[in-house]
Amino acid sequence: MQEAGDGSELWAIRRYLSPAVGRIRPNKINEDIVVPRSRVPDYLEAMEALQEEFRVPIVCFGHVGDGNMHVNVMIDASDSSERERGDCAKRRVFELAVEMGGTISGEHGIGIMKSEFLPLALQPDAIASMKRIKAALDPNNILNPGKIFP
Amino acid sequence: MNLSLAHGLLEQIVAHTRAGLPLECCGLLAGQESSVTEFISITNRLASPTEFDMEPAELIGALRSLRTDGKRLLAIVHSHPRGPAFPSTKDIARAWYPGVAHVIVSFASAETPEVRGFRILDGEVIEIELRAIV
Repeated sequence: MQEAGDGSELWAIRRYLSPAVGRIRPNKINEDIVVPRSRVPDYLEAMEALQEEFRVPIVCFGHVGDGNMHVNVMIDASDSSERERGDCAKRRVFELAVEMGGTISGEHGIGIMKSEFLPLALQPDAIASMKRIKAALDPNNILNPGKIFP
Repeated sequence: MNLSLAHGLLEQIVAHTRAGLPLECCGLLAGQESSVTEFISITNRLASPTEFDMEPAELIGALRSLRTDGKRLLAIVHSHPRGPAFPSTKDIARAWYPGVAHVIVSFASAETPEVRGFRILDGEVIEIELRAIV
């Protein structure tokens, strides 16, 4: 038996959140954005509006203390209309994060899935500079080819 | 939701998109409720005659200003230099703002450009009424 007030119940909620959202819809588009902590309430409000606009549930949770949130757009991937709405909503999830002074990844990185959205977060000259640095260090492009850059 | 456009705005949109020919131009319409009071042009980063994608930094800067000023995004506007005033397959696939209208300026007939407004919901195109205040 845990003593009251040690936060274990809160941690249990956090641990079970990710599997629990599967009861809302079978599939999720799982993104991780970050906004300045002062904008977390605005961002959550925007996500509420977004789920109305796209008619898909959006569940946000995670490292809210540092402004990093996991945004889960819940869909049934076997429903093509819902899948398309979810994909469209994804772009707005990122756009709103950048608009509020944040960026498109808090901890997961850009990888392959987010590379098409990198131009939302970085100006073309910044991306070009990053590509030049990568090319200088990895002239044969053998380190994570196809990742990060659109 | 139909939209009314403030006096002179329609002419401003047509003049701007005409000046961008033969490329597609794009921008935002903003205001309150269903009254458009402002046209914000955004660079088409694809610089293409057949498709557009709004330059992200400009788009995000504009959306940020609208939020700060308490204005609402009401429509995405773009031109079809040669195509009809109707959403293309690409427009329908890239309808990232289902909550707002899509206004298309067609120069298929260069002398008499046509401006029409639509909602795109679940791949379905529904025409709305655009009323220019004279």
